[in-house]
Amino acid sequence: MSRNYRLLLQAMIVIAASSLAFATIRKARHAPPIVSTAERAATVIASELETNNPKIALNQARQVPADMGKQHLTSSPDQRYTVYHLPFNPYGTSPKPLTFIAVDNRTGEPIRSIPINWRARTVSSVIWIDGRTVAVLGEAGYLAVFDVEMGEQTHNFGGRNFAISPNGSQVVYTHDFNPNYGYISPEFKSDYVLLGSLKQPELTNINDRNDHSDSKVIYPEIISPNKFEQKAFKNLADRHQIKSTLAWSEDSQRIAFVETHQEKLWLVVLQPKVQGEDVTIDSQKVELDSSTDNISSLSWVSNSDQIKVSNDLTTLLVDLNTGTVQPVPSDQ
Amino acid sequence: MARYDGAIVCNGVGSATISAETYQRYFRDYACSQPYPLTARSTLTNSPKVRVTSASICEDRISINLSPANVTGYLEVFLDGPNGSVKLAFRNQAGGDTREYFYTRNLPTQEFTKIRVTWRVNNITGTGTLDYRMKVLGDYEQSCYNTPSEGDFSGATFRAGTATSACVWSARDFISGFLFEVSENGSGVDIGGTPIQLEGFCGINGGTSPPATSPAYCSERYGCKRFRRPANILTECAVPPQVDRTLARGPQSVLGCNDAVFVDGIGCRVVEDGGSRVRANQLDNYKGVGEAACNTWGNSFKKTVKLF
Repeated sequence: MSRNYRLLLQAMIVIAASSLAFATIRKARHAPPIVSTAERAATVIASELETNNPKIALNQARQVPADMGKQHLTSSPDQRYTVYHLPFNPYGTSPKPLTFIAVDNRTGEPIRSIPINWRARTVSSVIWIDGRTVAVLGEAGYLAVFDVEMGEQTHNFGGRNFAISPNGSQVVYTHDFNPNYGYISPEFKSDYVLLGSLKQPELTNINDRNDHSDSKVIYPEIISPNKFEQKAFKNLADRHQIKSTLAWSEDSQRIAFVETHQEKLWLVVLQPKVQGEDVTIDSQKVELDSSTDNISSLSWVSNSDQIKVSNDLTTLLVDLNTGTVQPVPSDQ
Repeated sequence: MARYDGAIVCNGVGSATISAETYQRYFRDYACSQPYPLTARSTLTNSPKVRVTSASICEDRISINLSPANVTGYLEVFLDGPNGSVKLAFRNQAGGDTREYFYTRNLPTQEFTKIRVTWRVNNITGTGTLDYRMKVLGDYEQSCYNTPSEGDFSGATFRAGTATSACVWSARDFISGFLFEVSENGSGVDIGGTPIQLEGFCGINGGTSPPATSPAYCSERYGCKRFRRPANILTECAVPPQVDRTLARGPQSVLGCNDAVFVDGIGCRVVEDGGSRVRANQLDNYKGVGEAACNTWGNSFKKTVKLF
């Protein structure tokens, strides 16, 4: 490398580093007023996360390394609050509860200490549902919800594939009612879709080990979980096995997913109607080519009755009005 | 006339060339009428010999033998794979037996198929290899799980239906919190030390159905369950769980039943169970019966390697 070229390269590195530093300072000027330097640095990262990814998936929130004592630190979309949880040890005979601290960003003062009824061993991600409600995902199967302004946990769910409606009022998830570990006979391996409300506080006693979730099974039939008797499917083709995530429509009215049932692959769309304690479901099923198995993504086409279903090889466009299924050219 | 260049010490490493002048350029095999060219130069090379005698990531050991023993050279140890090589170590090393390590914590996420060792003495390099297939999966979060023990619980009891393996039904008082844990974890050990597991056979796949005097324990989260007592507690892979051996992986994991795994800082384990709530990059380590089994555990991310 010639000396001139080396000097030019060094100059470019210095300019790049200066630009990066300047960009960081500019972003910091927009950060909400808070107290400590560590908190400031962490909150800038957290607010970038919210700003850049307003619809961040449950499993994509990241842990901020600025202060290991404040884990999963994140600010509300309107920047009024910041929450984080303290380090916790889930093991032992009397483990301390998972505890979240809520900070008022205007004063920088902690305003709430919120213990969470928590059965998971790890916290996977923390997301804001709205300006005051926070969802905490544990491992791959626990969802707790707390209200910063009430200073209380409001909900606790156990299952998989949690999806919160865009309006933040409901959560759907899957559950097979099998234990987490051990041998499960194949005739019990059938999935159910549950619907839970996020509006009404449900937990009356967060220390209740049975975790009141007050959800309802809405598919393949409507059942209250506390009346649920697990079925053994002697004909394994009668089982329902969900093969995709659960996808809410933009208007929070419908839920779509892909399942196998009777040895066929189906796109299922549910439209739950909740009136008080009663839930009724309108459903629509569209058969897909069974080669579309291994679904990698499922999404509603904006402002339409169309759903895109993709796997590694192809993308299908399902029109719910006509029931037609068409492959999408790879450039779209 | 002959000439001798170079030097080879007896039992040593080096190269020497012997050259000779000859007046005859070919040797003719008259029987076959085949001419053979005569070379006027011959190089003798005594290379360093490298043998990778054995390796075990479970013992963090790569055993190497270098000969001759009375010389010193430059040793390099590599892991080779379809996506490239990683140099594990380099140093000056005397001949004889030596040991190297896998340095698992620093390994990139990729597959390796071979250990390759080179040793350069007097500018001559000897190479030895050993087939060794492993796939570094990345940093997996290591958590702990146990078999619930009724002795760790207190509070209200519930009379729940139990069945023997012969589907003889009865009922027994258990602490409700314990039954919830059994419903969640699939098995447990009751206050008398008897293993119990969820019952899913009697009246379903054979045997007699439960009578009304053997009621189910119902929870909102897991529905209504009855229990097998006594039970042979089995994992998802249908083997008994073993402390410091059994790992549970999640439904999205790339690992399957009976896959051997090395976890840095923990050791070699076998995937023998499934945990429906376990994440794809998480492994649950089985530590035994009761809450005390996991008392000293601390979750941490550790480099995890699949062995073949």
